[in-house]
Amino acid sequence: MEIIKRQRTRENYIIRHIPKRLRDSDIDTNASDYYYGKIPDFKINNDWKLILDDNNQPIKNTIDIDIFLTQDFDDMGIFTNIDFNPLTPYLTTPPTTYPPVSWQVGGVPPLVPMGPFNSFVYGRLPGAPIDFFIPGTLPISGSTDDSNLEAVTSYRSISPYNILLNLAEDITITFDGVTPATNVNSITYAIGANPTNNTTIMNTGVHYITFKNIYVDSTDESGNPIRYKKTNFSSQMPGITNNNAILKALTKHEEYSGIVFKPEVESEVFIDRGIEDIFERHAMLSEIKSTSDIDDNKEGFLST
Amino acid sequence: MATGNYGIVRPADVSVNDIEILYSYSETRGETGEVDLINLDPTQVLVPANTPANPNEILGGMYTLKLPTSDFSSKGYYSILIRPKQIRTTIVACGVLSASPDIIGCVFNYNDTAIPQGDKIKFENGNLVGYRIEYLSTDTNATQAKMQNIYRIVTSNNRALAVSQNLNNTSDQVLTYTFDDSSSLVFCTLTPSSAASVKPNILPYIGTAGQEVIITNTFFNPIMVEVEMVEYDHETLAYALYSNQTKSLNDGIYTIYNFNNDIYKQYTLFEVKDLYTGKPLYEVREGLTLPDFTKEFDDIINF
Repeated sequence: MEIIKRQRTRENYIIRHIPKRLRDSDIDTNASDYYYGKIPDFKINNDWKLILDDNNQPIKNTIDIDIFLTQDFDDMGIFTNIDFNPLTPYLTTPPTTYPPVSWQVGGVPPLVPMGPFNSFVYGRLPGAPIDFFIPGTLPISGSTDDSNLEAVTSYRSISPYNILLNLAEDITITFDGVTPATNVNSITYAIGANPTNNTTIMNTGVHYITFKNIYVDSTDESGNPIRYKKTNFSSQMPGITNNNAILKALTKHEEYSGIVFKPEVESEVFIDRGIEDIFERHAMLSEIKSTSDIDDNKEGFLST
Repeated sequence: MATGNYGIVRPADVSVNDIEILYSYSETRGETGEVDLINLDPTQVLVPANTPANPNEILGGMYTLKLPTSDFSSKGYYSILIRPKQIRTTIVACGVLSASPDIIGCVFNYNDTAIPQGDKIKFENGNLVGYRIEYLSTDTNATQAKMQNIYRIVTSNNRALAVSQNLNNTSDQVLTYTFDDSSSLVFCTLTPSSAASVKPNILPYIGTAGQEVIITNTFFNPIMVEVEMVEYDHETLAYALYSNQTKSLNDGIYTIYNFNNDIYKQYTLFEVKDLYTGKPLYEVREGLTLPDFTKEFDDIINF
């Protein structure tokens, strides 16, 4: 535990100033508002009057010391999913107080106000359906190259971009094609959309717009110049829904505590360490502590 | 290279509601009696700093300790302990999960009246993860109520229902737990905990039914602040050397002012003479307990 030592002089807090109104009169040194040589409990001004806050309350006189608090943390290892019996009926709206109003027993009011429901803050609250844990959807957007344009280009030599012509492999499942917003300056198209009707096409999948006359100059991985038509993409689809998420109780197997996979940078580099002395092979063997180390050191090379 | 390092120190952004502050006072360092600790309300004396551009966003790490002068103005030593808030409750049982008998844990009662109402939400599913559990002795005659040097860390907590389960090898039945959000019991796994066995003598220890425990958050590392209140520092000594001074020739009052020209110290200067011969024996400088306010510096030089 850290020990912080601070020294403060009482003189910094002792009142030495005499108000002008008292200088020409006999000062009652026994009066409750006589402060010379004292440290007042509340802050006073130069006229020895209490300074009041916004609520007309005196402000406590304090000795201020800045401290720095830190937190150490370590990885907690792997959690294990386990089924649980939910509390029913489910809450219909996220609670604003804790315990939720529906938990009231014998008229005990909820005590702790809660902000917008957040599973990080409030845990897996009993009675909370999975909907509470699914974040609201925000449209995402970005820019890319025009390589996806090929997926919606038909074989026609003239006007290869046909509006609402579905070029997906299975047109009953997805829609990959040009959308009606296409004009002389740009091609708009959707990839991976729901093909049911025009509305589902416009609201699902990833939508692209490639500008015909705006080019972006860049370089490839080798530094060679490349050029492509400016393309933006956007999507309004959610990432987590009722269909791909599930609520489980999280618990721990003691034997898995601390077990994590370290981030590793994989690059195909093989290093021939050679044999410098008779202990080299033993030294290499001592570095193998896990099965992945065997893979890294196989066949006489150190693969990193 | 930092890749792969998980353990780290970060500025704490703990709420003052999750902090406890205790302090003791001793007039000198030589005091040998028992230390009397007094509680301070952290919500009254600890103020977190906010991010400059975002007034409602805690900066993290930096807090200002505002010690009331009503309690901290005496000359001496104040030892202030700032530590995570503690919650006291009792272990209801220790057991295993029905679905996974290799997971052993201890069980708390959410409805335990010893748990403050405001802290009950910390017993909801997953909210106790990372909390530390310390144990009180089950020996009521023990001279030390706390089991020293033993603690465990909560690795998961879920509401759980006790269920009766048949054993494979005998006709006996045992009580196990299944996760059920309707229950008021909370099943906590701890680390280090017992191995995958329910042998009662197996180590490490995670507690026993009926045992009182202290549950503490680990949101920050506790610190001790020693505040030494002194009468003089280099600034006050500089008053005596470099500040304005006056000596009243009429009544022998010698006044030392601080750098604001306020009266800092006053003395009466006089001589002690032999009663019969009138021969001066001593020159005396005696401090005044009640200052003579007619010797204000501004009044004298503007006379």
